Amino acid sequence: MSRKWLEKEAPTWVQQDIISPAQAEKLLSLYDEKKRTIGLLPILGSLLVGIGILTYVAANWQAIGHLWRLLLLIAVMTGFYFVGERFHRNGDQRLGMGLLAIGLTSFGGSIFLIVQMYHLLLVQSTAFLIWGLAAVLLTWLYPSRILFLYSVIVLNISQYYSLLDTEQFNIFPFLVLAIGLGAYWLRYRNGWLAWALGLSLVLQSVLMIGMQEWKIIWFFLPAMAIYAAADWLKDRGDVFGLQGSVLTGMYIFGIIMVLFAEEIPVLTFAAEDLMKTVIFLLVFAGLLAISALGKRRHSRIGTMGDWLLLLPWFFITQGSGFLYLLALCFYSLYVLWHGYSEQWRFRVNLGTFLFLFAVLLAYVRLAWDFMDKSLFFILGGILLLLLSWYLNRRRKSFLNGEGGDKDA
Amino acid sequence: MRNPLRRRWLLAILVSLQIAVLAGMAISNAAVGWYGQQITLKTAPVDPRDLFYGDYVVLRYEISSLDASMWTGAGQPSSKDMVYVKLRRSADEGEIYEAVAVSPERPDTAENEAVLRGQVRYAGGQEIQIRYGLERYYVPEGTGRAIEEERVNLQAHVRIAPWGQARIMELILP
Repeated sequence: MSRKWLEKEAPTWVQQDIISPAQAEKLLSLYDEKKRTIGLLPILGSLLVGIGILTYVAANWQAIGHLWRLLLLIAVMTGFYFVGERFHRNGDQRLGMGLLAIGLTSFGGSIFLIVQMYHLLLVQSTAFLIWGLAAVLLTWLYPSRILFLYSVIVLNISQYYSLLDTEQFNIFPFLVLAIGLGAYWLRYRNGWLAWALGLSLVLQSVLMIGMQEWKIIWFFLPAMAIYAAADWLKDRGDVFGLQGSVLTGMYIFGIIMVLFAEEIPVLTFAAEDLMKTVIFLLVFAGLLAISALGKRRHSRIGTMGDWLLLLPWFFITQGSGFLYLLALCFYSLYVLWHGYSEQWRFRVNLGTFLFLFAVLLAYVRLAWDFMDKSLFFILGGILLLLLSWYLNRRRKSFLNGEGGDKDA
Repeated sequence: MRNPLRRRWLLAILVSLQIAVLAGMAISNAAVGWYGQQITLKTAPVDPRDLFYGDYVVLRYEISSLDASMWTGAGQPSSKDMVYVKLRRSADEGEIYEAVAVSPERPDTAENEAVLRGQVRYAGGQEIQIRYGLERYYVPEGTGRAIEEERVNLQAHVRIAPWGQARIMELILP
């Protein structure tokens, strides 16, 4: 809710005797815009200062002696941590958090400047891991979504570097993610944190499977396990967060299949090895059953529409690209429908976006090859504009009519 | 974490740990310079740049690719194995060290010999490719390209600590 909107509505409420003028004043004072914008500035400011310091130090690095460099870095880091702690304690939590995050960034920067000082190479993944570990501990110390996301990103980069440098899956970033941040999420439940955590777990399992040179579709099992486990959670925010991460991964997989189904050897999987196929299907069916039971228990059977995206369509090798296209389209429509039926604004918006994207994808896939390119773009643009106009009208009339607005 | 006093203490511990990590990294590498055995290796630049750093040069050493006949272990090394490369001071090129053997265990060395630890990148046919963790040399911003373009044969001064850690001390034109 914005102050502008409240300013517009409040006089009407006073007129209709819903609230008194004094109450209107009080309500307005709750939504002080000034406070909110000021809240963002310290974070932006501290980000800029942090980047400035890093680039300045990096640029003049060569001119400073080794020992001095290290002492300088340690001083900067310690300073930011303690000033951050002070602000955090004295009530300006956002600024405090911003400064703490800079302290953490200085720690990461310090590690890499030492790496640079001594021309180290094999320790890159480890460096990010140590940095990520510090980030996780700091997140526990100062519970914050920003620090949580910070840790998630650093740990994922650690894994990325492990793959890049040593072509090996590094179990440690994975464990720190799963245990350190998983426990944090268990304690401070939040849908978005669940999404970020789930998505990086899916990503890491994709990387691990890729590194083992197994068929990539084995990631369906860990992903489906996360999905099915989430069905047994009580809180809707948690469920949609965790399952959202799996569905995000599956949607991306779907896009890849739509675009490259013919070129990916995934499709020979079914015919190639009967034993593996049977195991895959049995485990997958088991997970589906667990998911279904969980849905029934918490009376969320309606969310079974998610399965449109989860089912292993690639088993039907003939035209599986097209099947995935249908799956994406129908899944998007399902999200849209589910959003309407639950009066959940976020789902409605998401469904609208996903559906537009799926249509665009269908258009690219079906029309790219034989259509003149400028005509392709013009028609595609018009198609999207028309659709978004129509969907927006539907959405607006719905949201106005029902006035529904549920938080994710 | 509601108790502010306790939190302050924990932050102090966390910061001390971070300082200890940084100091440990720096000192252990500085110690390689103090106590390490110096050797000189032939090398040449390959290609540059990384997202997170300033300029650096990627190096390829003469000992990065070895003849398969140098392998002393059973069978063939497989990629990602950790191996030890025994180096010996060249008879006719003075300072330069050359590879004499690759083994799965740390070999004993004579006075004009040294051992580098590395990881097999690829092994097949007549060749074993090894990376030593010495393949990157950071240079002042903007000078990497110049070294690249020279494409000359360089020499690297490397120090190997008694505990096996190695690092490049400097890169020189022969």
